Amino acid sequence: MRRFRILFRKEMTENLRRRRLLVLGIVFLSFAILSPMSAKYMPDLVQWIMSTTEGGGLQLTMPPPVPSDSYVQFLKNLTQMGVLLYMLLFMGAVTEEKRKGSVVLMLTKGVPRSTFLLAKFASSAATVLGAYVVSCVVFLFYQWLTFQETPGGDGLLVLASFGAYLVLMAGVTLLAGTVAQSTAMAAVGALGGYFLLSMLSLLPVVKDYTPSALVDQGLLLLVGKSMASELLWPLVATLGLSAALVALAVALFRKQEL
Amino acid sequence: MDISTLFEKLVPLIPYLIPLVLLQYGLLVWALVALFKPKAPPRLLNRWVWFAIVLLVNMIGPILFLVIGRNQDEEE
Repeated sequence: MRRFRILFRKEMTENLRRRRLLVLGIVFLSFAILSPMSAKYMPDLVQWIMSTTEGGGLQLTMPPPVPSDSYVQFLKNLTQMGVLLYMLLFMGAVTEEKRKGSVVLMLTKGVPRSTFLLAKFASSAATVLGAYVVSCVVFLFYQWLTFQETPGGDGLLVLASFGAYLVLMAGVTLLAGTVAQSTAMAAVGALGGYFLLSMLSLLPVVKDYTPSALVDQGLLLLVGKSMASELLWPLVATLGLSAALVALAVALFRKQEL
Repeated sequence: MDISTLFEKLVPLIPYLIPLVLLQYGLLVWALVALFKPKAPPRLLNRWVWFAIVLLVNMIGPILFLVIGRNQDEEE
């Protein structure tokens, strides 16, 4: 446990020093500010643009914005741009250490391979969750400014459950980095894993239990078309899958020649 | 909707958008400073190609450079 703590601290310092947390934080914060603003005012802007088009203006009736629109934008931005950015930032976390040979140095000093990987996973998950929590606070503040929506209830539940999705992405990135020998291969592996997981929701049998269902069910919950209990199975599946991916990464890393 | 109604709606928002502008320009300045560090030539692309990307592609340009173009080995 002591070794884990030391390694975890080393990894967190590395994430701060390489400015990974800062880049993630800035991007997540931008989403947090932009999503409520654009959800609230984009319909007005679109209507104005349409009315200025030639030929007397095109009349377009758009539904009035509702608070759940900003959650849709915020979470969609995070699942797409946010996750891709996270993967790009962390794809080299394991492969770079292999390339530089620092992993061999560490292992010869008696650090178990599992501890090495678990510290990597925990620190990258903590970094992305840290950036996410801060962005959620800002998001809720802007949500209150634009829609006068007080934070609480289903909104908080949906935001909290999305944390599990980010942990899963940390697992995917870790596994890809462990299997790959180069950073480029790790990137391909991580993106492949991400697309594969997104494609799972196309299979009717498992569609309601996939990580993507966590986001979809959450957004349905916000518009009153689903119940909080519907989030349970996707949440369990997401966390279970994350644990399985980390376990697989550790098992593969134990057998890997460095 | 006429322009004055739209303005009435949007002008009060300007103070709330200041943090976003600060984030955006902060990123831009950070990327430019990192790009022109003499001892850290950027990775993947030529310095001036990165300069064009950082300057012309709003928000995504600086992020892309900081994530994949910044030479961190030389910076350390």
